[in-house]
Amino acid sequence: MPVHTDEAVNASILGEMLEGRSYRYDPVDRHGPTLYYATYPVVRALGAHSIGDLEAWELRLIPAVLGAGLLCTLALFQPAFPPSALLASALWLGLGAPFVYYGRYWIHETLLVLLTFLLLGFSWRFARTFRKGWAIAAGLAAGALLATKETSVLTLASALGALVLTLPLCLPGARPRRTGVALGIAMGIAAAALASALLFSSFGQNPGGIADALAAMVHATKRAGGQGHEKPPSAYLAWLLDPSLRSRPYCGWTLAAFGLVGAWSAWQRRRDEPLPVFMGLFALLVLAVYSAIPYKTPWLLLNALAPWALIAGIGFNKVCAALKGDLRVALACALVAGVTGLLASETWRLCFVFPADPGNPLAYSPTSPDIRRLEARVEGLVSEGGSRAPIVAVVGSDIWPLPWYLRHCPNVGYWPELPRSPEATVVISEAAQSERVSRALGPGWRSEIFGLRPEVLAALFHRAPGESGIGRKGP
Amino acid sequence: MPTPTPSKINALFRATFLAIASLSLGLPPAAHAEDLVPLKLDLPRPMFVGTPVPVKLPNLEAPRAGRRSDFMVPKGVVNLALNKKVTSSDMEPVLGDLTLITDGEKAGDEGNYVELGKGKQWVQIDLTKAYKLYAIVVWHFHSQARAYKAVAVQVSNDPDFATGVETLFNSDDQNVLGFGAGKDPTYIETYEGRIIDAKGDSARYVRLYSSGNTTSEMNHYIEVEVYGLP
Repeated sequence: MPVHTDEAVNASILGEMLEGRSYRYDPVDRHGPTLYYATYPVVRALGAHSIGDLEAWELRLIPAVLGAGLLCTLALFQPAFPPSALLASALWLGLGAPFVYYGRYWIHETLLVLLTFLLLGFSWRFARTFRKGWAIAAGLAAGALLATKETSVLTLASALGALVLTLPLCLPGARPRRTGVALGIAMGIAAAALASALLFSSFGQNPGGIADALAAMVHATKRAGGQGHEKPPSAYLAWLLDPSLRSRPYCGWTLAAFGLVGAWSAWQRRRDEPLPVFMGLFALLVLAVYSAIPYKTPWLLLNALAPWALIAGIGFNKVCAALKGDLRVALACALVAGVTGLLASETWRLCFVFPADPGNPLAYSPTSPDIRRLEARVEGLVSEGGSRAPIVAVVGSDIWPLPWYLRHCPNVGYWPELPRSPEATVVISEAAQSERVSRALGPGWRSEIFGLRPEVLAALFHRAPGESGIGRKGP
Repeated sequence: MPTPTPSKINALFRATFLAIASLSLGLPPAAHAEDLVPLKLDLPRPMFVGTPVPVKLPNLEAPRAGRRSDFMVPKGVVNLALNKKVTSSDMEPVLGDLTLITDGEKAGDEGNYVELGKGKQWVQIDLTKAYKLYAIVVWHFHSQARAYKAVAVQVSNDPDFATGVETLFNSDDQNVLGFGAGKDPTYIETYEGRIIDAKGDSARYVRLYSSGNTTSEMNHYIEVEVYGLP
């Protein structure tokens, strides 16, 4: 799977850290630092000292491990969710196409979902035991959650909303035990504030990052308006439930079907066990909030799907329990095999056969495989230059994820427009500037066209090393 | 996080559209000028629109202003490929089937194109007997701005294309196909299709090659028309 634009941007930020610059939170153009801090020690241990040393599999190892960690967090929700229901939930979380697909993307979403589950799980443990250690753990998870991505505020608001709805529905007239509860909550909030402050301030190296994190809410509000990613409110349900060119959405269909059974079952037992009701309401509120916001990307759906998978697990458990007769076990095994097969077939097609195909609903503005041909062409041209490595000039603003694919080039520079005097023997231009670049370069240059993303093209200009007729210096 | 936005996509979409709209071939076929008439094509509706931005690259089609120039063919030419048998290097297409290539339907919607596997692939049309050919028109895919790689068109009377092969078009400048580096320009697909001059060559078989495109590694065909005198 080619490296996505967002992964390339993240890699550039990590590359700066590897070269010795500390992470500095930018409220306009960056998400929080936790993903980079989680990745940095791993890639350093693997020997990386710059972006040029990084390989895609090293970066993608992180979300894969985080995704496995998400499965482990399910244990926190016992006994409100019985082990058999949690195992069924693990089917979707471990095998469902959206989870596997974005579990291979080195972006913030899998980490965000993991931290959400940790927060909910630790909070649930605190609610059951009133032990302050759980409250502090929940606070640390909340702090890390806040420092992962701005959308964490929506997660926290949805959780609070679900709690407000759940308490009167499930525990009417109940009064919280006062002793130690307020103190535990206060300690949790303090832990959250401390953790997020430490992370946003780059562990004290950039105190201004804390204020920037608050300012980021203004920018996030603007971004929620769409910024080119506007979709109708039904977009998430369409991504989840509509058949695509490349596969039927078995994950979405099974989650919906078993989730409805699970929701009904949870409602029936709401007085005995309120957590499943909370989880279902939380999933629905997250989906409603994200659907109401014009800005939509398919990976945001994970935030609603993950808690809903717990409800689907209850539904699956309920269906299995309803099976009667001598063939009960055989039928249950057949059901497990059937759901597993359906999930695996969709995941295989979307994640491994057509991962970057425009007909794949999970592939949002994917990098075109053609970029590997461009990478190979540039590397070939660079190697032809021998000891006098040619300068590669990249022209334009919409050139991502080229910085990732050109990370091995020794002399590469990026310009918004073709500079007057680059001594470049290889020029890559965004399509919109290709005519101007072609004119500026003059005769004697060959050009080839390559795809960066669907409908986003770039032109490669090249000539033999030493024949460049334009200028001398790069930036 | 600068996830590429549709507005940016649209900008480059527009940027490429003039290049797309640059299929101005006015090459006269081998016939007497007084017998020539413009080739009339039944074009599908455009699948994408945008304000064209000039894109000029030395070996990408030059921008064209206005409608495509008439392509002159002898009076009486017909589409000899309609409903003719198609074979391929990929006889089990990923999407659709090979009959779509000569079924006369050129709309760019889903269900109207055949998708062949990754990398170098070809399709071959058997016209059932040799005809004098004047134009071959190919629609690979036109619901999105994309260029197909290593496009080559050959005609022959040998079904194996081992002998008597005439190459009519070759944009394979990296010689992926092994026919030598092609000199024809890469072009961006549109609803107008690509007209290739068949030069009045006599042939029974038409073979079209490609090796992926700028968006994916797959190969697509909506329709191929072969114009000649019956």
